Amino acid sequence: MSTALITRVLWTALGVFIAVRSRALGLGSFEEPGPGLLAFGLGIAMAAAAAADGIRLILRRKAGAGKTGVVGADASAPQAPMKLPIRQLAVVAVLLAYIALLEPAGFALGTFAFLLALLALLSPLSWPRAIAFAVLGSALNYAVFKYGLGVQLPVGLLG
Amino acid sequence: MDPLHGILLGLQVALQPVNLLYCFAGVFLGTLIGVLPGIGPATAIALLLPATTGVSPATGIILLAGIYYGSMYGGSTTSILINIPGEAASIVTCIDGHQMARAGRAGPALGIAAIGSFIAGTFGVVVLSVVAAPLARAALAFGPAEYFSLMVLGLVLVSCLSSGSLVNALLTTSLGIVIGLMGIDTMSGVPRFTFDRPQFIDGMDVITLIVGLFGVSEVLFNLEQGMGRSIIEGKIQRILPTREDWRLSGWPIVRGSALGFLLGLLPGGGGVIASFASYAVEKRLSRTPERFGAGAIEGVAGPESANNAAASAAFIPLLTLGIPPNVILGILLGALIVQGVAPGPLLIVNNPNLFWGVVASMYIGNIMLLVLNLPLIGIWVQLLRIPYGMLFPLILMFCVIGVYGTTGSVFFLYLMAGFGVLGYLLRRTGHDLAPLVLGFVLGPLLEVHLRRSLIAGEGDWSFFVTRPISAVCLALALVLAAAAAVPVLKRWRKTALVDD
Repeated sequence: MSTALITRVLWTALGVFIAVRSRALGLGSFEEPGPGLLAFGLGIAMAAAAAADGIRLILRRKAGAGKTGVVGADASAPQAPMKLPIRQLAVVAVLLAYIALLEPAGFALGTFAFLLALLALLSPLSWPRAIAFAVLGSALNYAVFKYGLGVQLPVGLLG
Repeated sequence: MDPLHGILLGLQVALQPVNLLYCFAGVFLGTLIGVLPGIGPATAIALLLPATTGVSPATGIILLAGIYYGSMYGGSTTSILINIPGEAASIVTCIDGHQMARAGRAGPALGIAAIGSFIAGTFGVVVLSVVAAPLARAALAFGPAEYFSLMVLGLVLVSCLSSGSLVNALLTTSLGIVIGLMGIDTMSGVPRFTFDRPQFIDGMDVITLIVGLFGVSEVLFNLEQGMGRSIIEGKIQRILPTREDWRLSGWPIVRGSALGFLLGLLPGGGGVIASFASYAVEKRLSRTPERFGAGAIEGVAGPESANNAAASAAFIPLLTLGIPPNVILGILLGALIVQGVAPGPLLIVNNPNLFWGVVASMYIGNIMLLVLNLPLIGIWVQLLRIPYGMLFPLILMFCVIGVYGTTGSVFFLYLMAGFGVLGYLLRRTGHDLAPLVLGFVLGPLLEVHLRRSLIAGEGDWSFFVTRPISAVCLALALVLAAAAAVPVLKRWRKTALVDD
């Protein structure tokens, strides 16, 4: 299944979910809308639009199988399967680990580890330079935000 | 209050040391953000949004507004020197600006971009000062039906003009509205889409959503674009344009300022459309259109003026009607709401210090920007050499500080990461994020005005078409939606017929 079609299936499911959840909130009447009416209408519209576009994609693919390159191209709908974004997944994993560590380890230690991990992942800096950058980055930002701007940041292990 | 007294009051506010400092910080950061490709003004404003909660509303908005119009100045630098637009409104500047740089004329290109931006930005602020108060007075006659219809028109325009397909825009706008409806319904007291989480009782946190969608997703999205770039090397010699450059650029700056201002007023308009329209106009009016694309200075002067005039004009619908015409001002509207300020026609009456202070700060900010962008251009060029690999970890760290600093909860950090991934996936699959954010900001207001209108009209939906302004807005929205939908339906029909 192409990325475009998977996207349409997900949008349809989301539209149905919104419609079902908002129906339970109470739709009221057209004269006096309840708390769920607008969201219900939007959920139905989302599901209908995504399903119709999904059907169009399937029809186009069928037609394309019979007559290669006949049917108009749609630049807005990517057809090639999306490559697994390894680098992005790694960055998100590091970010989630940082969030998990933030309160137990504290801002300074957590940020040091976070910056070092991302520098190792994304930048060509040598280890000594990366360590120096991470130490400076976490210490300076802690000082600026905690003492300069009065932002409440977790102290953690260093407290 | 007439504009002259308004400006005098505004200057009293804007010239306070703290406001001058925030104005400078805003335009400095705006230029920086404009210069660094990969980080747009929306991301920068989202990141700085938490920093405005501890200061007065006027000070906070002066900072954020400075980032917005400052980024319009800075965006041209990367377009000219490395052929990568610093922000979307400077895309068209790449065409002739970079060709000028390759021909050893980077200085005049940067110079005319800064001077044109200054003239157009100042022109925009002058018109804003004159027309905002009468417009706000006229808007006082607006009832809930007019607001509802105006918001529908705004959302339709933004959806039609978004960069993805119409279906994608419809989907993201709807999702944005639904996310905006989360929390306790103010009219019935029923909790909506809270998933039994106390964190959602007051609705989705604006800062978490915007920082995730723009800050985190911007980093993830830019990781795909590669980590390197090539800068035009060599010292930039002469910044000031020659007499011939002035002769060629004068009218393009005037036309760009006027055109940009008009297009900036439209919902969904803004700098991108204004700069492209200005480029098209200049090319058509030129006696030597073949020079365009090969380093014509008019191709830099016109678009750069247009996007700055549009940036000033965009404040008119926000400050007089409370309706943001583009995503960046949508975030500014969020900032006003976070500050407890009710945007709309009463803003000028109830918060004259805020309104006139922001307007006056824009005069001062434009002067600061001229100084920052002409003599200090060398510093910005050096900044282009900061590797992405060092920049992206810092942006993500600022995202975390911003959200944690305002919410004090790790829960919202996970939510921010989730919105970041959602934003990345949406952009990766051809969805524009602007309709989602505008839907989120306008959705709750849209619903309130819809329900108030029905109460006022005793449940009669014809109430919306019997009031002239409301009827015109809805008719325009219908025509626009139909104009955008017909080609899509034709394509669908073509697909089905081929299948048959």
